[in-house]
Amino acid sequence: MEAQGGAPAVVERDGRRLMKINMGPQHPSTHGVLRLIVTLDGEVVVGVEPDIGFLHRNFEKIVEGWSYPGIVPFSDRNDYLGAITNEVAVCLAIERLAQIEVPPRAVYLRVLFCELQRILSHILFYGTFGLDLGAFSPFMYAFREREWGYTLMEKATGARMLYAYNRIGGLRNDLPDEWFADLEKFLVFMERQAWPEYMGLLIENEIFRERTIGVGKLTPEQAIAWGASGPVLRSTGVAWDLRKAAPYLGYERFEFDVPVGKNGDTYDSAMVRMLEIKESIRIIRQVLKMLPDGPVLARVRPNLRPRAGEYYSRVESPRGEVGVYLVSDGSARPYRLKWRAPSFCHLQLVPAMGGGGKVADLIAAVGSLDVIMGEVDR
Amino acid sequence: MAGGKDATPDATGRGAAAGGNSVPMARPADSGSAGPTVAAGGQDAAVAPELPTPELETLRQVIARRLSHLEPDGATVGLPAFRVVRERLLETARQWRDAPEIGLEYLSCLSGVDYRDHIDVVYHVFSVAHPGRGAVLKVAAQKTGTAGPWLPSVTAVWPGAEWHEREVFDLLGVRFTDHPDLRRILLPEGFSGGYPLRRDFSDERVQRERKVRQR
Repeated sequence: MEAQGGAPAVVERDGRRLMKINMGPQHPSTHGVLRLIVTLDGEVVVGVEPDIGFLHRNFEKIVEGWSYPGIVPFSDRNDYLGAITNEVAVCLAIERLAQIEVPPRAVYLRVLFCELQRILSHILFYGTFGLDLGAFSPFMYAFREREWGYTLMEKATGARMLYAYNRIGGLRNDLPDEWFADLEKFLVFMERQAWPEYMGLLIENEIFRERTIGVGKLTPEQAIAWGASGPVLRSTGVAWDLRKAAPYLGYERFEFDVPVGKNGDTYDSAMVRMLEIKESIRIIRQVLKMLPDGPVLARVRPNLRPRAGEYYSRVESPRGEVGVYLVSDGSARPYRLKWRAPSFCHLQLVPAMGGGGKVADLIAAVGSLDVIMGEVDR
Repeated sequence: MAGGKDATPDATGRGAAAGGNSVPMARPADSGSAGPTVAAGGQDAAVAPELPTPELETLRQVIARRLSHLEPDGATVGLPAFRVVRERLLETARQWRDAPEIGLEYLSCLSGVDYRDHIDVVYHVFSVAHPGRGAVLKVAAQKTGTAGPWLPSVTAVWPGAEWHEREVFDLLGVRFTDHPDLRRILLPEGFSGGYPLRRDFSDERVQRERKVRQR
């Protein structure tokens, strides 16, 4: 830990003069407060060591003192770009232990919001990944749709990012008919205009391809051994998606494909996310067709006491596998709640992805992981 | 993989979840009365956990038959769960990963849970090659002894455990032997206030004065 601000530390190793410098914690490409201690030989990255914990608030300790309904809004803050999926992960764990039956309409709407959230998160990834690589315009296009999507979310839930929309036993409120018409307009625009534009502006761009193809390569064996999930794992060619592998919320009812990459590089990782936007639109269309009528919230007593036991719920968030390990002792507060964050596992891959390349490739590698420091540090 | 399209909407989402698998918290005999125990009794007390899919039930039987040193753990809902002694943890982890009919190569989650007299470390492992498989392995780290709670590291089996073990070390104070880089990960380097996720932790920092206008 020689690099502590001020002048870069110089270390001699095997007759080479290596430099240890900080990238972050406040670096534009680290998406939050991630500090990478980078050892450089000229412009070549010899070693990377991620240093995390700047946003640590001990979520897991705090919720041990809280009643169950309070945990759901707090879980939004972990992955703040996938807030709905966090809520769903927590709610599934609590509902399973408390044996609460969620009304069918709420289950379908949860699927709808999970997928809408995935689209919005991937749009932001598209914008910021381009920004990391020096492409500014795609970012503006991405924020055009993101703004629209967040307005949709606001109309439905009352909040733009941290929704607190899921309740134990369902959802807070139903949606007016006009909202579905707005959503349809958004989906049509995404599909017909925005998505082709995204591809043309960035993904098919020659400079972007040069910067990403073959950069930050991972093998499937590496990805599985290090606990990668989501688009990072799928970019290596492993068709592993919890919506197919361990369906929750009745995902087995919907027809969709799992896009996979071939080379496990940053380009494939971006491409997988772009294709997932299309699959999410497909799922939302099916939800809209199949959506049953009825209530959206089951009757749950406010002072909820799930039975004693343990349950591990897994949900495919935009970033990968979110896991909630809930231990209940039968009281009104959880005995232990462990949050498994996909970004936490993915950051372990940074040395493997960024080592040996240039500094600019390290930035591409970190950007392609799409880490959210809120869930890494918890 | 996909179920029938006309399957009934299942709120909890784990396939045909049975409603009747109420599982009382079963603790190993040596852990005493510490931790979350629930009053025994009720007609479900002796019922083994019913697993949601036949594949998981098969896996439970395979593990129980092949690895007789594992003790079934009744507290877990939805996954087969076993308890192992510390001395045989590494060997068991290897068998779980490498035996073809078990094949759990994906470590999803590694958590520590403080039960006052000991700390349980819980491994949630799944299989990417066989998506229906998954199991839970538990091992207790006793707090007695001068060395404090310690366990062998499983990073040699599942490399992704590295940061998870650092986190358990940081927040619960379990040392992992043969860990490649056991350092604090989330708390600041100079933190000396104890282990926040232990049940007896109290925040000793000076509380800041709150400026609240009196009404």
